[in-house]
Order: sequence, then C-alpha cells, then structure tokens
Amino acid sequence: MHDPGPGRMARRIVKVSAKQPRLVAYASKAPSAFAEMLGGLIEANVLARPEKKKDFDVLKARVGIWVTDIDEGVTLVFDAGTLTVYNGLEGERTITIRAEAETVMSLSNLKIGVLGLPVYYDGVGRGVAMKLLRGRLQIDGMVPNIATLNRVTRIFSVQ
Amino acid sequence: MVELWRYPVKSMAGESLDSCEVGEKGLDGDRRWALVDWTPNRAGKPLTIREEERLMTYRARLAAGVLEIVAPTGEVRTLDEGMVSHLATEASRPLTLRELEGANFDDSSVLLVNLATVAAFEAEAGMRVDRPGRMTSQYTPMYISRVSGSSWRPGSRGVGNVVAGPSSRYSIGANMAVKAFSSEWAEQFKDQVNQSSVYKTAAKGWKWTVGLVIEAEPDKNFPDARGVVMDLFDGEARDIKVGSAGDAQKCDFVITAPYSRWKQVATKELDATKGMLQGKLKLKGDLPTIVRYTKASQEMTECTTRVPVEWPDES
Repeated sequence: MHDPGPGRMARRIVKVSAKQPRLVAYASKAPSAFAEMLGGLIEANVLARPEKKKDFDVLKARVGIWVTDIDEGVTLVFDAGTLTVYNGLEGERTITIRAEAETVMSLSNLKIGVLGLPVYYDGVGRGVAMKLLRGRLQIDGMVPNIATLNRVTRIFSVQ
Repeated sequence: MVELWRYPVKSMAGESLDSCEVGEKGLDGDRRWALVDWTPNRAGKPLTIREEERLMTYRARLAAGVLEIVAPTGEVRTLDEGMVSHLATEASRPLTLRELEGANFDDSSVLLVNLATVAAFEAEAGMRVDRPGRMTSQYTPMYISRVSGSSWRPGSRGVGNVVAGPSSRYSIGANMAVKAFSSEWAEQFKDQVNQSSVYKTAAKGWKWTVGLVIEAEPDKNFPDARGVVMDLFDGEARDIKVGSAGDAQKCDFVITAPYSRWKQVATKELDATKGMLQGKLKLKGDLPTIVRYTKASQEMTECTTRVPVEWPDES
C-alpha cells in the first residue's frame, strides 16, 4: 500500500496560509455540490499554477455553466482576483455554457497550447469541438467574447 | 459441441443453432443489433436486462438472414420502427436501434463454455447446471477472455479451462455472484480493473490511493459502514481491500456515500461523475487531479458493474 504520509508520493501540494485571503467565495450559505466543486477546482488550479493566477487576477466576467443532464448550474463572477460562485444562473452573463456533465468535465481537460490557446486537435479537443458543432455544447456569447472564453478555459483547465 | 446459441439482439433471448460461421467479430449475426437508451443518465448506452428485464421475454432469431422477434405473446414481428417504439413505451425510455456487427458486446465476442468448466463450476457452486449453453439464471454468464501466449490464467475463482483454437487460446472461468463489498467482491473488482485496457491507458500516471466509504443503512440490511481501500498505481490495481470506513478515510482520495447510492452506481442507475457534481457522492481530495483522470474513474465505475453482486437488501 502507499504510505499515506506526506512526502513519499508525487502529489500536488496546495498551501493556503491562514493570512492568505480566500480567492473563492460562495454567494449562498448553502452552495450546491456543483458550485463547491467548480469553486474548489478553480481555487486549487489558481493557487498551484502561477500562469493561471495571472489570468485570474485580470479576468472580469460573469460566466454561467448549466449542466443539462443534471439540471444544475452555477454563475461564476470573476472580479480581477476574486471569484464569487452563485448557485444557478444569475443575472446577465458574459458567457453561458450549456452542456452535459461529461462535456463540462472535458472542458476542464482541454490542453492549453501555444499562445495560451486551448488545443482542439487532440482527442479531448476534437471531442469538445464536435460537441460544439453538433449543438451538444452551447456557448452563448462566444463570438464577441472569445478572448474571455479562452481565459476562462485556461483557468478552468487542469492540464 | 453440446449447444450453440446466438443472440442477434443484445439482451433479448436468442436462438439455438446447429451450426454457425465464426469470424473475427464472433458468431455471424450475434448481437448485431442493440437498443440504445437515450435517457439522460444513460445516453448512448445499450439497453440491457439490468434496466429492462422484459427484454429477455422477447426472442430474437435470424431467419434466412432476416431478423425476427418473437414477442412474449408468440407473435412474430420484425424489429422495425414500430417495434422499437413499442419497446420504448414498454420500458418508458427513449430508444433507438443500432445495427453494428461486433460493437454490441460487453466483453468478448465469443463466449465458450466447455463441459470441464461446467463440471468444475457445478463442483464449486454445489449446484447442477441443466443447460450448459445458457448459464444465465442464478448466476452470471460464464466469461471468456482471450489470453495472449499459451499459459493458462485462471479465472478469479479458479474455475477454468483452456480451449485451444487455430490461432489463439481462450481462458474460461465462471463468476458467481458475490456479497456486495465483501473480500470476494474486492478480489473480483480488482480482476476487472486489471483486465480493462481502457483503465490501463486512462490511469497512466495515477499514483494515489483511493478510499470508498460505504455508509451504513440498517434499513437496507447494511448495518455497518465499510471502507474499500484501493492501491492504484500507473494503470494497475495493485491491491483492493475491504476494511473499516476509517481505513478508507486515510486514503489520498476519499469518496463517501450511503450503501444505496453505491448500489445505484454499481447497477448503472447513477453515473458517478454526475453523482459527484450533484453531491450524491462526496469527494475529498485534490480536485484538479481527479478531474484529470475522469476517464479512468468512469472506467473504474464500469468495472464495478461487471462484478456480479448479491445485494444485502435483495437477499
């Protein structure tokens, strides 16, 4: 068995000091599991990867994500260094993504290539692109906000 | 050869044959058709008797190359749009028909059961097998997997034999239903994971332990919490053990849910990814890592569904 103690195995070390302000806040006192999962994912990404922190610190956008097969969604309000996660789709949004759970997970697995652009030519990328073409991934506000979408993808991606 | 069976439509009853051509995709016409389920949590997956037991009351046969379905009433029909629509209404699920030779098998395209295996199975199970060709009633069908090289690899319960073909060898074993979340279950689960080439590829680079906490549900005849500790390394399940919930909680990643939720996952009623997004399965651990291995965790869930289980609330 693995030794579950620290130091022996390769693992991502996420340090959050007591003084460090939390990057992610939840609008509701009872955030949904999906809200907590996305908030936790983004926070871990940003804290562990300086390049993602750079994007996070400048991003100002309201991004909705609706998971069509579980009928749940969140609104992510990025405000240059902080993120507030709302349960459900709230107010006006810069971008709204609608897809099934599996596709949402694929979005977070998109690789980031040269110039910080998401890679759409590998297996995961092609899958995402096909879903977009077939309408199984819908992104409202994509065309006028492509730079914002790329930035959100970079923050969201675990690759 | 005692019996030869072909099942033209996946999960429907089949037909006994005197002879049949066997090609690379199995017996000619075997599981060439499948009903595809489009309910939101199963979209694109074939409908099986797990979801709709009544499928087994329909018998599929190929008459001069034409597919015929014998309904429970004895009426003979073709599997046309009207019939698919009738089955969809009966199952209360949106269904479509998929015709694709070689694509509708769970494990192997050929299932061989020889008499030595049947005898060994009877001895181990302490029961008589009346119809060796249709070992499907009280236990799961026997499985067969292609073995590379020539050495015999016994099935997880040691029941087995080898059939030598002109170009390949097959291992044959029998899987009996095991008690849910027992040591025997863990052993079979580990075998399934290690037999999965999909898991092997998707979990390359994984180096962390995973604990499953199965919370007690006394009213479901599951009175004490249990933990499953999985030592997974680089696409291989090195060890899977059942212990206490505390053991599982010490793992790098811990997924917690009550017994009935885990049962839903293992019977494909609940997709594990959706379960986590909905908070039905509670996950503890580094989220970016687990998200990076979504495909591996999906395949691991598939592996649990391949273990025949005796559920305490059904016994």
